[in-house]
Amino acid sequence: MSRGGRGGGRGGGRGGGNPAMAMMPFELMGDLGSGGLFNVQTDLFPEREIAYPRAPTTREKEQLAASKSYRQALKSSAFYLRPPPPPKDIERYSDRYKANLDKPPSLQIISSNTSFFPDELHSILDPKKKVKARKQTYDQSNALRDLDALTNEAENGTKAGDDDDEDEEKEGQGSGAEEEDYDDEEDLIDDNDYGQNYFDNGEGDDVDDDDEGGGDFY
Amino acid sequence: MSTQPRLCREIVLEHFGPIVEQVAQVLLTKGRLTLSGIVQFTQMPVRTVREALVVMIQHNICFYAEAREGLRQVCFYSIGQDEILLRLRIGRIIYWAGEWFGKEASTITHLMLLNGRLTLKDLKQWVTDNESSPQQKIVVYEQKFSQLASKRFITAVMPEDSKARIDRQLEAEARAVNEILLGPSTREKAEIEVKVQQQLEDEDQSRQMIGMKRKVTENMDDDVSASKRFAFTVEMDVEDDVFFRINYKQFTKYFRNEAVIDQATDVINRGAGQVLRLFLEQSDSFTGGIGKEESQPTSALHVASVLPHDMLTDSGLDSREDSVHNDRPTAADIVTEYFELLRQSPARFIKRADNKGHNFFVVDFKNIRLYMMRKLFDKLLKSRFGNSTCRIARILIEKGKLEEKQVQKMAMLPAKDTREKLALLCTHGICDIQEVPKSADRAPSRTIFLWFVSLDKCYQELLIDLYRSIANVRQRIRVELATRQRLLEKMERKDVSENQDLLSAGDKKAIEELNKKVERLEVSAGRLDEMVMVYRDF
Repeated sequence: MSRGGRGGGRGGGRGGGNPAMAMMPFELMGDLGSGGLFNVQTDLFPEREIAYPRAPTTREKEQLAASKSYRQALKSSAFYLRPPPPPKDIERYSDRYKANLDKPPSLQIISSNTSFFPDELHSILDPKKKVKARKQTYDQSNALRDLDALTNEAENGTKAGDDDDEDEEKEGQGSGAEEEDYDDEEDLIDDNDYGQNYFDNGEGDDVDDDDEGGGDFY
Repeated sequence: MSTQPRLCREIVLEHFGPIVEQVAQVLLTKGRLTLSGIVQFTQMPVRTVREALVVMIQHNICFYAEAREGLRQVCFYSIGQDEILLRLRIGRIIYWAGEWFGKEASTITHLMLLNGRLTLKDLKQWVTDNESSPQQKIVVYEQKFSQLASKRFITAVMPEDSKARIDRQLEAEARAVNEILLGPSTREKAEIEVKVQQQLEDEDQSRQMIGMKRKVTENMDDDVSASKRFAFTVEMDVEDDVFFRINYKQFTKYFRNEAVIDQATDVINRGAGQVLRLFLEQSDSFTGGIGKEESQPTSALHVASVLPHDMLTDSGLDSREDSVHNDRPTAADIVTEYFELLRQSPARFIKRADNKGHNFFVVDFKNIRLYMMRKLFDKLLKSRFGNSTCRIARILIEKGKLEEKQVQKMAMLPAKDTREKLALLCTHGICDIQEVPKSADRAPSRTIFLWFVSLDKCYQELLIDLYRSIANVRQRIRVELATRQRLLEKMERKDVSENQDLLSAGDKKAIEELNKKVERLEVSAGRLDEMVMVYRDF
């Protein structure tokens, strides 16, 4: 959409000028400064008429009261999480009058069904449940396991016995556990490492003379 | 920052505190994350993040999805922006629950919104702890609870509720795809998608009956009002241990019906509003889904049979003809006349239902919604830009695409003014230009420029503007409270909260001013939310 087309399409007239400015010759426009062509108000807070809103009706006031009491109740409930208060430095006179900011009730007392929450959050609701370590579910179509099977077959011949299967399973589980540790490091150690393979720091370059007189000019 | 996340942040900060707000902010800006992702971005201890997630899931604003990644099972959390935005309406919901069902109902909704989810057992416990003479009150509370549940204002919570909807959809689609041998074609995939959507919606609808034991009793007593004679009163008993939560959609539907009735009262008269209310009650619009464009059909006779008696004498209609027998108009006549008025009004409240036989009408919600949106839009234009600009916009809306000269003639304004005003509307995104080139090279001097207004686009932009305004108002409230932090702390002191006279005169005046300011700001936020309801939810 070409908004510029609209202004340019009107032809030779001066668009956007203020009404008092007739066809002023171009040379004299410099005296006006930017007040000639641009009619935009540049005040930070331009004058505006602000309408007064209607007074609140009784219904609106009561809705407001309901909303306010709800928010206050929520603030003192277990659901409003606050950062821990800063440690007290010195004892002050007003401390004895300070509103009791007792420790808000913890989330354990809210009644809720743990089936509504994922496993990792169960420990918050029910402190007896330990944090479940992330289960490593063993995927049947695990490509790694197939690879292990292939390598085992290659090494031990085509003996597809039960012993091999058991070994593979143990190896798979073991390697699965170790995999997590190695994952981070393996990302760093890579065959395609540009830095090691290609990057030339430029230390060994000879410094050429600026005067390259050998160029041929045709 | 885009407007919806900003408004969500303000709401979460106000309701749940700074910690939950930080977690919500990360989820809003980064999308779905695992627990470790959230910990990494917020730099908060793991336990704190877990608590924040529990709070959010409990209040139904956060969803989780368990997915498989390689060897591990990870859990992704995502936030529901729509659910957070609905929390703006909490004050209105609590108040109207009290108006429609009694004081106990408003306490029930208050508690349910406070806890996110509530069982009947917990409610009874609360009543025993907090109310005088609990034995009688428990019965009343239980009755109100069942009433709310049977009218679907509160629904049972299932474990699937906290799972992200899109994951459920994808799972269902994957299951359906697996059933088809040889892989599905594109058309079959599209069919599966539609079917799965329908399935999920049906599940949501049928969900509403869970958690209740049903007793059907036919109530043929005389003291039951006539409107109930047509429906069996179904009495529901609620089970004690099932968790319930507020069903915002049902409240929105009631708000919509009230707004429609108010419109009829404004446009025509009070009698028309009453007739429309009876119509809606008759056609059972208070229980169907909100997406419906039309209500169930009813005829004038049905409505006439439930017309209250005072309408017969004071119907609000004026009969100018000399009636021979000097008898008062019958109920059927009054209703028929009102139906004509409703049908022919510019808002087109009702229209004929062709398939149900002669003289059956339906309430046309779609037209009413468009009418309300348009009316609000006109009002806003007028207050923002003035009469003449509003006139230009209305001309463009009604006539379609016009050239500048035609607009000038129709609006009866000088050429310079129309140009300026059209440009003003353009910068605010209300009108657009369509270029029609006359020659192959698109020279501006040889193209026709047509101005037009695209109403859908305007409504969408208006909705975003409303969100931004509400966020600004909330921020202003927060700032006003923050600048007076010391004064508020003084108010919370134990000796002051008991005895207000300990404050100096200046302090008292400052508190009064603060209360007035906050009241005005909150009321304007409430009105903006009403407008959001018209544009988004009706």
